[in-house]
Amino acid sequence: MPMQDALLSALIEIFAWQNFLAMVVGVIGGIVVGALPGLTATMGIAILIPLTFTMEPLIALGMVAGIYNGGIYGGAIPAILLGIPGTSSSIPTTFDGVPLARRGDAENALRVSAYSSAIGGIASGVALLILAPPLATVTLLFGPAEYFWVAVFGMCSIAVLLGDDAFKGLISAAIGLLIGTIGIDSVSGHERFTFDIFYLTGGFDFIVLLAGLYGIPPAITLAQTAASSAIASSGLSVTRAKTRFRDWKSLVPTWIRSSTIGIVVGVLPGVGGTMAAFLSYNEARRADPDPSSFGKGSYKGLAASECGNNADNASSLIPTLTLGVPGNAVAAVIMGAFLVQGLQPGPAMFRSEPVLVYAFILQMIMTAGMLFFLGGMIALRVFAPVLRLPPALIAPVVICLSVIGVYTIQNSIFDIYALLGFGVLGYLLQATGFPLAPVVLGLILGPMAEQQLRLALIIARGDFVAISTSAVSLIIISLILVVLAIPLVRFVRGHIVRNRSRTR
Amino acid sequence: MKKLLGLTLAAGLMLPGAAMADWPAGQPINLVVAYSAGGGTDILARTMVPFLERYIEGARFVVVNRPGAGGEFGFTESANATPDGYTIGFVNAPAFLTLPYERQTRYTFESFEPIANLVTDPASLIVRADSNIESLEQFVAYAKENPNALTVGQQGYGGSMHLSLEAMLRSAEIEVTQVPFPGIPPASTALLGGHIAANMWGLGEAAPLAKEGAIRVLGVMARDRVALYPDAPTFAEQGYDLFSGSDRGFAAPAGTPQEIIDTLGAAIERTLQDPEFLAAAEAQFLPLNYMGPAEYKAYLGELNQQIGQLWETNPWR
Repeated sequence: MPMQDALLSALIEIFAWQNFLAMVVGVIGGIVVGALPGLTATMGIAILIPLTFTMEPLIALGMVAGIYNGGIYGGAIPAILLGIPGTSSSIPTTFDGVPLARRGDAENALRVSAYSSAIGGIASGVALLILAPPLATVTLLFGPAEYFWVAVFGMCSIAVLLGDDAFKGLISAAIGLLIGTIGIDSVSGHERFTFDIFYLTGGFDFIVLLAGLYGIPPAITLAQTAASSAIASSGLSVTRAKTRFRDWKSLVPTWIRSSTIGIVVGVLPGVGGTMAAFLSYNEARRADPDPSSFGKGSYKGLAASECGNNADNASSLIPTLTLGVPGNAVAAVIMGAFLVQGLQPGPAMFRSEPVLVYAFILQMIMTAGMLFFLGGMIALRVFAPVLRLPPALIAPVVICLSVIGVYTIQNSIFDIYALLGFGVLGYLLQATGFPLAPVVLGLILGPMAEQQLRLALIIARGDFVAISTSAVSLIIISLILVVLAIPLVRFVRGHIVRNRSRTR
Repeated sequence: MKKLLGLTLAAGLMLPGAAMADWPAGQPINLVVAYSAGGGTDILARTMVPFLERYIEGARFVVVNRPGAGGEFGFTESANATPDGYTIGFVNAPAFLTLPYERQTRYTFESFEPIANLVTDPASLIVRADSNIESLEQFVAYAKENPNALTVGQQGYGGSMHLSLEAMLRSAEIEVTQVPFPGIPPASTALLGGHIAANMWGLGEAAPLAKEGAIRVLGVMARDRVALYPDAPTFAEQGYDLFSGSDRGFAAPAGTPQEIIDTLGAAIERTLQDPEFLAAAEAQFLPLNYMGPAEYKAYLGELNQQIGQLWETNPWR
């Protein structure tokens, strides 16, 4: 069947009311799951899979697509309202989301994030639809050596993100790297920093760290306010915005840039939406005529983060659908959803079940589009009123949700203790002015860099030069040099200008 | 309601013999999976549950994922649970057998009462479809001439594919560079992208890609050609008597009443004959291989002994 025919049949199929309803339910469910700290889209889909066993394939896949897109967007809601990112890919959303909410623009911020997520998601879906085969070949260019350099690139972008106090930022990143070394080393199988404690052999899941660092300290702060002001409103309420944000045109370049970054990062297995969000935030700030406005409530920063992390969604499925190789945890779970339906993802699926594959891709686009309507609405109607509750109520609710979410990862009580421990760590770090984002990125990228470097060295038989000579490696290495050079150039130039003004 | 609660409490307090008569009424049976939700073992578990509930009257199953530490968390949990039939687990051999040799685990092989084997995925040596190496013979010849020049992916030291690869290297008297990837997907992209020369994989994972024409299977460590991909030659056909792979089955904590073990074993056997389940298994490329309680126990015992000998002579860690 030619692609156009398959597409047309697929389009008709997904508008059947059951399939449409499945997408709506999936998106709403995904937003709720994503918005609760500690619960992720991956988990939502994993829990859904056994239920889809008896469903029609398109109903099941429609729900999966909805949960995926909804879940990644959902992370933005608590990120903006409470400064607690629902998923690690919404950490950069807090940078500008929180200042916006503080100055009473939460409603606008939620709307901008919903629209940006929708646009990123749609762009990614379109890329999956028309560019899947060429992008799949990009995936294959990346072996362990190339992934090592990607991880280094990610860590250098942390260095750029460090902000005002580079020293404190580096210490934060080092804490993340250190936490990342705990557990069984996957290459040699030896235990590191486990101190014969059984539970440490598995290492720490980054969701535990995320929920601990970002979920617990705001709850402690809220509790402190509650203690001092008795039962009163948290003062964080979402009032109707005085001025409605209308300057959508100013966000168009950010959307284009962030969508591109998200799509490209998505194609690389294992890199994921977190890096997409950070990179697109960085790029947006660098391209902006007024970079200092970032972190103080810039709509562009908010749009970059949310557009970037959703633009990763569909494109991260490209290796799964075209090669049958899942690139990350979400993709692996979605591949499971296909397998349960008796569908083996891979090029053969495009030949044997073209209507179904195209219908799923269209469902990815459609569910992203639904964020335009459902995203802002659920955020404002369901979650924003939470802020009208007194802090004495919000604090325990946040802690409860974090505990439940963390427990569901691997049904482990130890993870709850770890969550509370990380909560205390996060509180202390924040109180002493250490940034939290580098800790999380360090835990995500550190083990990736180490593992890939060691695999690359095994393959190259210990030859350090050989792991840097492929064309892809060279391109990434030059990007690393550029990223590292920019602050240096800026510093030197600033120095010269200052010296000149002094001599005059 | 109160009466029901009283009954449940009473049932819980009764002697094992009496409690057994009630099993599986009253509470759900936890099925511990030592890997994450959405993975191969998890999907198999969740696919099985409705059939087991159909064949054991009154039984309800709950899949509990306890991933981490290469499966050790999950295996420890099912080994150390109360042996009342309300907690059973998936055991993945040889992974659950090698761990106690490698480190101080909180369980041993003897902590388990094997129930039944479900799936045996034979190890297979694969190369990319456009590789110059077209047969096992050529692979061995090349490796003999260029020791350690071939890079072969496996899924971690002590894992099933590592042990299968070791067996092949000893049998053929060759040396290769082993690359321990963290799981199948990264090994897969590395092979398809030409970053490594070959992979040691379960045939269940290799068959879909082989049918695509993306990879070539040089040999399968099974006694006969495997139905889900009969094009692949066995190692035995090519002069190497190697039979190795990974097994997935059910086990209960040691001390679980034999009657419960037998009931579960029978239900699993009936599930593996159910046409509806067979269709699902075929779609998931699962090479089914039923072994009942006695046979499975003997099989695992022998495997455990072999691993012990290997660890004595050639510890991989």
